[in-house]
Amino acid sequence: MPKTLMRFSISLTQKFIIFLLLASVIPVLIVGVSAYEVSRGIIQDESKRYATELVEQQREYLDLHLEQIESVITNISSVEAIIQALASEPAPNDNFTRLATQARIGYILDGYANLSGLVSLDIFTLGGSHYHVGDTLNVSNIRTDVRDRLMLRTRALGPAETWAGVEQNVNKASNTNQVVTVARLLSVTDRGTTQTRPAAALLVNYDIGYLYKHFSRIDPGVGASLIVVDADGRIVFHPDTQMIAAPLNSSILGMLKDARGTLITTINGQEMLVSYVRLNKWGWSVITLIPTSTLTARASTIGSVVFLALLAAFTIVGIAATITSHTVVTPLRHLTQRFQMYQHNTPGWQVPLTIHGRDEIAELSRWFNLFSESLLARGRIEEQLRHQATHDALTGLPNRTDFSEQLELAIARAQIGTIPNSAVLFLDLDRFKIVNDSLGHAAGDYVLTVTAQRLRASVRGGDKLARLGGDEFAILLRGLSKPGEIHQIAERIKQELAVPFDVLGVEMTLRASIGIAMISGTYAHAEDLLREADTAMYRAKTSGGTRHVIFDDAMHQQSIELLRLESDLRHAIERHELRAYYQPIISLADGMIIGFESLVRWQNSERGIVAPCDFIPLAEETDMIQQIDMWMLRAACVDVHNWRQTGYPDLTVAVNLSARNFQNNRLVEQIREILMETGVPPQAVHLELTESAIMADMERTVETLTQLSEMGLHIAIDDFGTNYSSLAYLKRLPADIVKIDRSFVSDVIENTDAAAITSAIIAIGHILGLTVVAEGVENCDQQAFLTKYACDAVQGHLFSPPVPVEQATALLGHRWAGSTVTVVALT
Amino acid sequence: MAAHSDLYVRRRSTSTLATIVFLLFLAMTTGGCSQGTSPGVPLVDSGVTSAPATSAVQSPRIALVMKTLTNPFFAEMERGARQAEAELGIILIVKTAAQETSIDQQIAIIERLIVDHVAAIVVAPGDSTSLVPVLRRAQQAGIVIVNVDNRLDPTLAHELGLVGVPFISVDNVDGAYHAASYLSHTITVPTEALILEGIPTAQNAIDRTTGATKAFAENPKIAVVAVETAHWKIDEAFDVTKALLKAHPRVGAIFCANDMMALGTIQYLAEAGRKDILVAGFDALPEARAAVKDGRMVATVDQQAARQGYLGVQYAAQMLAGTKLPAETMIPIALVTAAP
Repeated sequence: MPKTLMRFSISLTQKFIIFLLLASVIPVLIVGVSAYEVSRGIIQDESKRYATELVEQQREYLDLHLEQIESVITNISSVEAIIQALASEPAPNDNFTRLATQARIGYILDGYANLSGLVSLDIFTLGGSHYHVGDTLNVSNIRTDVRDRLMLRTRALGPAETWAGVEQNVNKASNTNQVVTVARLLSVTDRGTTQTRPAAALLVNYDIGYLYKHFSRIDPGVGASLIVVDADGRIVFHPDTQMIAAPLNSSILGMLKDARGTLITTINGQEMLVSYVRLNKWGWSVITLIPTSTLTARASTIGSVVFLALLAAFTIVGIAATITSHTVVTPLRHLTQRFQMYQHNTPGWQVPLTIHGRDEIAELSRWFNLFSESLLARGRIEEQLRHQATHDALTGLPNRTDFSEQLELAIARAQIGTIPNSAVLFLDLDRFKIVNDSLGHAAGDYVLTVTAQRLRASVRGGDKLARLGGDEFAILLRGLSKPGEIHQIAERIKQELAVPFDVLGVEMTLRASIGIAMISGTYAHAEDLLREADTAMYRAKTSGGTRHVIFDDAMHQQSIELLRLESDLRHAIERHELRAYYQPIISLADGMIIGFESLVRWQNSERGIVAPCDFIPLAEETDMIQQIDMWMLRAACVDVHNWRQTGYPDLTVAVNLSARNFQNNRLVEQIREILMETGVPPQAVHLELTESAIMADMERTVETLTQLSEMGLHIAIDDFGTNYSSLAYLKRLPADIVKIDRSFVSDVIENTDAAAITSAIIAIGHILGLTVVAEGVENCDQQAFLTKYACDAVQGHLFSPPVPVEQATALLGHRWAGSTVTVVALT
Repeated sequence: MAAHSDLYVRRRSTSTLATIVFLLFLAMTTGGCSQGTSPGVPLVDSGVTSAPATSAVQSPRIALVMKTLTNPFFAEMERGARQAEAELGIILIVKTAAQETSIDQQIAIIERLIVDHVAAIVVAPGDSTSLVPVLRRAQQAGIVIVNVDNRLDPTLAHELGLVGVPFISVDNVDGAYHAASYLSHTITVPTEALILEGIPTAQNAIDRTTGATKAFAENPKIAVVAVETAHWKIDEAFDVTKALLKAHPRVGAIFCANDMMALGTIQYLAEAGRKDILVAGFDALPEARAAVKDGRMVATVDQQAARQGYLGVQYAAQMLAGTKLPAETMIPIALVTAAP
C-alpha cells in the first residue's frame, strides 16, 4: 500500500459521514441560521417599535404631567394677592406682617396644593422670605445650597419660562428627599415706575415617588429598563431607586442628541438597544434600554432547537457510520485484505469469509467465497498440470524439463560462484532392454519404479533426482564437501541397486552405468552438462557397465574430437572424400574371385585415410550412415557394372547395410532406383546385414528384406555367430548367404570350440541351402580347414586386403590355389 | 503483510474517529455563538453604587393632621412629632388644613388618609364635633386615632362609637385662668376687658374663654365688655381689636385665646398708639415671647406644643404595638411673663 496514496485517500466511512453530514447538517444549518436571523431581525424590529411607542407614550405622559404642574405655577403667578404680597418685603422685625403675609399666601397656595403628588409649594423672595405650603410646616430648616442654586437657575429663566428637574427637597423636614422641582421666576411691577423686577422664585416640588409609581408600572419588556432623565442628565426615573438623581453617563447623554432615535451601545458590559425621545420643552429624555441578549435570547430558542437538531443529526450520523462501518466497510476491508493476501500469496486468503445478513455486501462476500473456491480448484488443477509437466508419471520423479531447469539454475549459481562442488550424475540401467523385451513392459515399468525408489533412498536431502526418460536417471548433487564424496555416493547407489529383488518370479539384480560431470561455470547450458555426463556414462557402459566414470579432460578432448569428426564426416560425401575399397571373395572350389565386398574408406585431406571403425560407429549414431550406405551402394554398382562389362559377367558385389536403413521407408525404392540407374541386375548385388541390425526391429527388417529378395537381390548375414545366432530366425530370413565371423575363423586352428562352431555353421548353412562365406582368412591352415569342411567362399588378407577399385580390377583374372596363394601372400 | 494490513485498518479507524470528533467540535462552536464582551460605558457618571434597596419591614405610617399652615404653634408640634418619628422609626406624614376654619379641608384630609390606609392618625381637630364621623370611619378602617390639642366632643364621640381614642392636651381652662389672672392682678382701677376667643365650636376655645372669664370675674375692678372670636387668626384679630376698641375705647385689658390673635391685637395697639392696654396670649410662640420680653404683652402660656406632637406620635406607635394607654393625658403648662 503506497503511503502517498493512503494520505490522500478517504475511507468509505469518512465519505459516508461527510455525505450524511452534508445531507443533514447543511440543510439544518441553513434553515436554522436563516430562521434565527429572520426571527432575530423581526424581534429586534418589534422591540424597536415597541420601545419607540413606549417612550413616545411616556413622553406624552410626562409632557401632560409637567404641563399640569406648569399650569399650577401659571395660576399661582397670576394671583394678584401674591404679587402684591411680594411687592413689599416686610421689615426684619415686623413679625405681624411676616406672619400675616405668610398666612395670606399660605391660604392661597393651599388652594393649589391639592395636586396629587405635590410635595410642597415654595416661594423664595429675593429679600429672603420663604413662603411654604406642603408636607411640613417647618420652614426654618432648609437646604440653603439647594435654595441658592434654584434661585440662580430661576433668575436665569426668561419671563413665563419654566424649568423642571430632579432636585433634593429644599425643605429638610420633609419626608420626601428627592423631588422634581418645577420653577418659575415671579416678577412684580412697581405701580409708580411701571418697571418690572424679579421678586421671587416659585418652586413646585413634586414627589418623585409619584412618578416612580407611574413608571414602575410600565413594563418595558423582559430585561429592559425605562429611564427618564432631566435636562441636566440627572435620572428622574430608574427602576432602581438608588439611581435616581444620579447623573447619566455623559457619553450616553451625548448619544441622545436628536429629538428621538434608536441606537445600540454597550452599557455596563452589556450590549443595549437604546430607544429615546426628548421632551422638547423640558429637555427631558425618556429612554428604554433593551439588552440585545434578550432579543437574541428569544430567538435563541431557534438556535437551541437547531443545535439539538444538529446534535441529533450528528448522533444519527455517528450511529449510521458505525452501522455502515460494521455492515459495509468492515466486510469490504476484509475482502480487500483477502485480495491483498491473495496477491501476496499469504496463507489464509482462501479461508471463507463469514457472511452476515442477506444484503449486497453479504452477496459480495458469498461470491468472493465461491470465487476463492474456484480459484483454489483452478490452482489445484494448475498445480497438477505443472506437476505433470515437470514430473514423470510412472515414478513420480521430476522429468527432464524440470531437471534441466534445476540444472540451469545450478549452472547460473556456479557462474556467480555461490555453490561450489556440484555435480550431475547420469545413470543408465544395464541390459534394461532385455528385461523389457523378455519380461514385457509391465515388468520394465516395475523395474523402473524400483530403481526410482532405490535412487531416492540413496541420494542426500538436498540432491535432485529425476528420470530423464527410458531407463535414464539423473541426479543433481549439490554442495559436495570433498572430492571423494562423489565416489562414495556413486558406490552407494550401485550397492543400493545391487540388492536383488523379484520380478514375475525372476530374481533380478539391477546394474547401472553411471556418468558424472562436475558442474562449473564454464557451461552455458544444462544440455551440455547432461551430454557430458551421458558421455561419461557411455564410457562406463562401453567399459563393461556397472561402474561409474567421471567425465574428465581427456573425455572432453575426445568428445570434442568426435564432434569435429562428425562435422567433417557430414561434408565427406559432398567433398568426394569417401572411397569404395574392395576385398575379393574367392571361391574355394576353384580359387577364382567370385565377387568383392565393398568397404568404405574416408580419404580426408587432414586425417588421411580414416579407418571405418573410427567413423562408422559415429555415422551409425546419426543418420549419416544411410547416406554413406547409399553412396557405397551406388559406387559398388557402378564398379561391378564396369567389371561385368569387361569380361566378368558373373561377378557380384557385397554392400553393407546398417540397421538404421530399415527405418527409411523408401529404402526399397531407393535401392531399385540405384540399380536401374547403374544398370546392374539385382542378383549382382549382395546386401550384408549384421545379426544385431536384423534384431533391432525384426518384423520390419524381415519384411523389407523379403521385398528386396523378391526383387532379386541376395541377402547375406554378416558376422554370423557373434550374437544370438538363432537358427530360428536364420530360417525365417530370406537369406542367401551366411558369413562366418572373423573371430571364429581366426581361432579355428587353435581353438576346438571355434573349429566346432565354424564347422557347424558351415554344415547348418548348407542344410538351409545358404552359401557360406568365411571372413578374415589369414593363413593357409585356415584355408585348409575351411576347404576341408566345404566352406563355399572365403575372403581375407591371405588373398587380399581391401583395395581401391583399380587394384581390385587388377586382381581379376587371378586364380588362387594352395601354395601359390601362400607364395603370393608372402610376397 | 497481514500485520501491515491490520495496521492500516486500525489507522483508518482512528482517522474516522478523528473526523467525527472534529465535526462535533465544529458543531459545538457553530451552535454556541460566542459573545463579544466589551465593557462599554456605565449607566451613571458618578460612583453611585446601586446598593441593595433597604426595603426593610415597611415602617408604619402615622399621619399628623393639624389645623393650620400658618400658626408657628403647629410648626412646633410638628417638630416634636418629627423627633418621635426619628426615635421610633415610623414614617410621619404631616397634613394641615390651610386655616383654622378649614374644617372641611381637615375632613377631606382624613378621608384621603383612610384611602391611603395609614396606620394611625394623630389629629388636632379644628372643630370638636365635625370630625367625629370621619374619624370613626377611619377607626373602623383599622386606623389608630390619637387626639391632641383640641378635644373631640366626648358625648358625640361616644354616641358615634368613636372610643379608645387617647387625648393629649393641656388644661386649657387652667391655662387661660392663669394667664388672665396674671393680667388682672395688676389692675386695681375699674377696667374694661375684652376676650378674643378661638373657634367657638372648638372645645379648647371654649375652655380658654371659660378660664379667662373665671379669672376676670375674680377681680371686681374688671368688667368684660366683649367676648368676640377672631378664629385663632392674626389678621382677623387685628381687625376685631380695631373694631372692638372703636366700640369700647376704654378697654384696658385684652385676653387672646392664642398668641397669633395676641400678635394681631398688639400690632393694632401699636399702630393706634395705645400703650395703655394690657394683652395676654396663649401658646408662647417665639414672637409672643419676644413681645412679652419688651412689654408689648404681659403673659402667654407655654402649652408645650412639641411635647404634644411627640406624645401624640408616641401614643399612636404604642397603640399600634398593642399598648394600653390612658384616655387622657394632660401636659403641664407654664406661664410666661416678663417678670421673673
